[in-house]
Amino acid sequence: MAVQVAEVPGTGAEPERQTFKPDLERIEIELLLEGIFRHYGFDFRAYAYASIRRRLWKRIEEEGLSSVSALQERVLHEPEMMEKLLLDLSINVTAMFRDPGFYCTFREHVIPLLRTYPFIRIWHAGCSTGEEVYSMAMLLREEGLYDRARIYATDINEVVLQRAKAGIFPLERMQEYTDNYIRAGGTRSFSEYYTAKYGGALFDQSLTTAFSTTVSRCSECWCWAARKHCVS
Amino acid sequence: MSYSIATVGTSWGGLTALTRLLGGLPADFSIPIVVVQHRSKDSDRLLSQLLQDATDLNVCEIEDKDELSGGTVHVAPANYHVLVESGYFSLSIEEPVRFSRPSIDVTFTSAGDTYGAHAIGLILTGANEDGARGLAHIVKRGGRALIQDPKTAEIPIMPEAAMKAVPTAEVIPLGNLAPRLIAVSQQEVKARGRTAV
Repeated sequence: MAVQVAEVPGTGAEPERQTFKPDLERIEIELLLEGIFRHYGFDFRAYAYASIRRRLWKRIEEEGLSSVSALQERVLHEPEMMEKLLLDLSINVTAMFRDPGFYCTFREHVIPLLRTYPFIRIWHAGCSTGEEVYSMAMLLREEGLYDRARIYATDINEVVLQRAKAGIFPLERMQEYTDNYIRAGGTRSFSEYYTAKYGGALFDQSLTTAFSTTVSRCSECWCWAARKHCVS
Repeated sequence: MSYSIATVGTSWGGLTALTRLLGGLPADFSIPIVVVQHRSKDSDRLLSQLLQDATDLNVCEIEDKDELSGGTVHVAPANYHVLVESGYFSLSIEEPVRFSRPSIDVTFTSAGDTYGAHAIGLILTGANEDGARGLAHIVKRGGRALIQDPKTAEIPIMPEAAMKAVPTAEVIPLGNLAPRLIAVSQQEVKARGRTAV
């Protein structure tokens, strides 16, 4: 069988040994994504193709496999492999006040509009470990809108969601977060929001009273499917 | 069939080379241009503003899902990788590649995969070897390679690495890059399997 190894910069992959067959590879990727959707309920079928392809090949190489089809076999038959792939395909990179320009713009253009509402609901879809949810809570409090707000934080990954609820973040990132906070137009001193505790930075839990968190799970077998997929 | 995309990679010292290149292109240059310049993660939109001052083309920072557009210079934003999809861009926050994000290799590789023989890759002045592998990938997929002559480059490391990775690439002095790109852009894309001349 022809071995197809993609050259993916930054993953240490070896250069290709066989002719690249883009049409065949596309078929394989579409079959894999269709299989994932039907079996697990996660729908990656409309994701940006070059982006998905790159991440699939990283996992393929990590597992010592040689094709998308080989990965499909593992993914469909081993839920642990699906969990790994889920982490590969979802963005878990986050930080407090990440992309400070966003928060500046939010303060300048969105907050004035929100002030005119009696009640505010904000949904952080895919909140990962929660840093940006806390950031929004701080911003709302500084702008005097926290008491009329409810913040919904959801993620398909329960592990990161638990960390979000706990509110303890790595102490070594506080300098970076302080810089972000300042550039995001923060009006107080960032260090007021946390204390060093439990080996990390524990954030002011009063920031979480407006939070609702939930993870999407299959209601039948309680696994990580995004919708009910069990046949009773 | 004509070319569909021209990707340009450069690092430190690239502003002069970029303004020379882009300044020499007409406003109706129809092939979408993508510029990946190494930038510190805090950098603001100054690069786009400076480039806009230097060219008649429309300069804009890439946002996720932006469509490829003729008469336009799409600039990679700081701290994101740019992937070339079919007709549009996707941004990625995967780890830096060889300490760079945006990485020239990442963009060029995706341009080669998505557009193959319809891609043109250009490597300009720079202080590291990012882009050499990506340029080789474009050529492997049937596309064209143009490299700024290192003798005309502020820092020759990047073009020299590219020349080593792609011995068949055209090496062009800075002053001739724009006219040469215009000439190439008007050529028919060569059929797959033939060596690019």
